[in-house]
Amino acid sequence: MNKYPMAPESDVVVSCRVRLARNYADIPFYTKMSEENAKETISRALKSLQSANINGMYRLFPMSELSDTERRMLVEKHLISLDLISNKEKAAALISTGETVSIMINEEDHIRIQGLLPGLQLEKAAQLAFHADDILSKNAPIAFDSKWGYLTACPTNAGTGLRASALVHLPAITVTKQMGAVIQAFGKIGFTVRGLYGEGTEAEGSLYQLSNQTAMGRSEEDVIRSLIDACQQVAEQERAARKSLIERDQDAFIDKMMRSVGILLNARLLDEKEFMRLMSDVRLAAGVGVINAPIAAIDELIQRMQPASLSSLAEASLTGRDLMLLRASEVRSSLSSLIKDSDTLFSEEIK
Amino acid sequence: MMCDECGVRPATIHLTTFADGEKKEKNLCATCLTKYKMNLPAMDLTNLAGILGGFIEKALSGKKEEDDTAYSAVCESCGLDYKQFKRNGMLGCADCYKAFREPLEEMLSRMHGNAQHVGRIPGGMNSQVSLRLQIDKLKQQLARAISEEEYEKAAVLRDQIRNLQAELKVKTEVGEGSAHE
Repeated sequence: MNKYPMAPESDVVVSCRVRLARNYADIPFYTKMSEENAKETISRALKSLQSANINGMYRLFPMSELSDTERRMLVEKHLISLDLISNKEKAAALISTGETVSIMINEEDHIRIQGLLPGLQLEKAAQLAFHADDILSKNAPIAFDSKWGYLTACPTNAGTGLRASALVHLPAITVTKQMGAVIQAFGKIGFTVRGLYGEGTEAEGSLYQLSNQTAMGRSEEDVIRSLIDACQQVAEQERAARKSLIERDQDAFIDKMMRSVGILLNARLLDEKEFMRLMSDVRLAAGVGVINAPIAAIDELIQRMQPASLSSLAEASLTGRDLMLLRASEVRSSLSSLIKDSDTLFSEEIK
Repeated sequence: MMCDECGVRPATIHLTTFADGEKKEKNLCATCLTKYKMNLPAMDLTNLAGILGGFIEKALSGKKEEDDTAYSAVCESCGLDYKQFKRNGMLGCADCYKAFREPLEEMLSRMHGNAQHVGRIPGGMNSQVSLRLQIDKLKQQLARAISEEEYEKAAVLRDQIRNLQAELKVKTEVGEGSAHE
């Protein structure tokens, strides 16, 4: 099998996620929860997996037993949230062996199930999440109201408890200043657009999160289907913008991409922001065929170069300059083997 | 310089806005300025949507403000005071939804634009939603296959859709309903 399988629409859509929030009706929510309650939710979730005979497919990560680096690495892989870490005394995560399903326990809600896949595969991510939901809800007293649906700690999630999201890479839309229009268009159909690191953050490396704003009044399939449509449309728009950039001045376009490659292949100190900005060009270059590198490998490299993952590699908690040094050296070796022999291909590829 | 909104017409107006202490600058053409102005409140709401406390305050503010500050209730199950909930936006337990039913009805419908759940119910089997999604996806592929004149592929897809539709029908008949009435 190919080491880096091509995920659908992955030239634009980095990954997608379906999250479901669930609570037990007979246990207080997080703010009112005792330590015993916290243990009970974890043991219930474990028992549900055991009775469905799939506990072997999941690994339990009690947050209090992990090192700070290990916890932050799970965040960098999008498997857990920062909120789960701040509840670390009571929280745990159950993560499937392929890291496609993550069940956060005692985050804001008792249970938060996530189906997570590369590219645009929201139906599959939904299937994964719904499957886990069925298992965890079976014979369990799930907090549910016939009018308001699933009851959650914060009423913004009540209803389906669903958040469907996609991480999209929109460098050409950003550079051609169409992002404002895209954000508006998404707003009109009930989706928000955020920077990679959540609320109000700058979109580092032209990466944006699209997700539904509300959880009540629209069925799961309706929300997921419209996010799929919206992602396909924005992907088409991004491709058109890429094409127009190339048509406008192909040499300047390739020059910009290759300069970024050049810096990455030679830099000795790389901070996270600069790295993300330059990798955005590399990702774009691979997306349009200027370089011949698998996009999945580029995404993997981006994830591996985040601070906690680098610290884990060095087996020490790195900060500041040490991180920049290690990042630069790792990027030099990984990237050069990724794009080896590929620079001769571009002239035919992009036409 | 081209307009930041449409990217087609030349920008003639430089607009500076302040939201949440953040300065934003835009270069707009006259046409987009009109649209932009019209859309300003909507955009503010979008930004607020994620910021929990602010969103809830927004949902509570307005004409109901007076009634709401007068409202007081305590959830008997967990002891949460309604005023506490208003401060941090978090409910204490599932029963809080019963204890604060009246203001929550108003709040939920403002937040979501609708206070009636549509969708899955607990204990239902996996299938309905995901089956429908699968059928959707196959239908898309079928349309593509037909437009590309790949009729053999289309026939296979058509059969797959029929099978899934039959499965869905069985599931619906055995009472795996949705909560929507």
